[in-house]
Amino acid sequence: MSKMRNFLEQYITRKIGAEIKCCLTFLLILCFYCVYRWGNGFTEAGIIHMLEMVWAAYILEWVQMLVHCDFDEADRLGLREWIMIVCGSAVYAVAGHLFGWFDGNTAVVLGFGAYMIVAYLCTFWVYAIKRSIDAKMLNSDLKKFQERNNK
Amino acid sequence: MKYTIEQILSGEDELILRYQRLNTEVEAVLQFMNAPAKKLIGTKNDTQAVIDFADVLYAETVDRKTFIYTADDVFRTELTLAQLEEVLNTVNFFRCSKSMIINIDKIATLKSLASNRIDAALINGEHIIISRTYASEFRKILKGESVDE
Repeated sequence: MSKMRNFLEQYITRKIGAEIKCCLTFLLILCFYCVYRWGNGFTEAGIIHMLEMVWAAYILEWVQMLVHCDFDEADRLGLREWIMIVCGSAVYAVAGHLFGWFDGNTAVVLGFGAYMIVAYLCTFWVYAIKRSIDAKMLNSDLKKFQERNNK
Repeated sequence: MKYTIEQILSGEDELILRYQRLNTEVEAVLQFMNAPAKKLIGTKNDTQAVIDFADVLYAETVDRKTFIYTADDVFRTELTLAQLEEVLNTVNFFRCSKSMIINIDKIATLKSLASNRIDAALINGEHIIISRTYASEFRKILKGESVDE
């Protein structure tokens, strides 16, 4: 029962993590898409395009999680992480090109790829800052624990 | 194991343990006898040693053998990790993985890792990773919150 509970807890934790990342990635893509559309004089966005973005983000984030390539959560940016960031961004750029999110404009597709690289780097730094704050809190709790037990 | 209980009318209370070989049963009795003093029995190079709870950094099971680590030594014990966990039943000791018990008092610093894991650096410089399965319970213990069984 306890094993089953642990398994479910781990699964739910991973699922929530993947869903949050999927939402974040979708928002990042949508933001670039909307700015592009607005810059070209359009004030509406394609529902089909948005569905494609959600599915692209969902599939890629799950693949990333299932193959244990959480490069945006890595402790440091090594060669492997850089390769994964560039590859992940390239997949989104190719998806954008194939689904016609940017009307087949190659320059914009390349700009979108670069934007996704920056977005991944920002996500990496946000996670690094979060871990740094968490470590401070953990060490503060550890100190209090040790003081409490050595009284 | 055969045991004899004898009531005496005068003199000091005494507990004598006679054994040929140190096995799990004998060691459990020894641990019980040492419990008030918070001491463990470990063996190193066929020599027995008494280990203070306070000196233990961590205990680990490797290939079904349990080892107790202090700052300077490694001792073998006949107890399983679960039995050891019961003996070390104080708030300072935490089961940080399936095969390891860590002494929280001997942690120098903690580092938050990806996927909610925790890297515990011990006072002797060794690093122990607390997996996400155990990390949330560990956080509760540090905060002094009660932990559900």
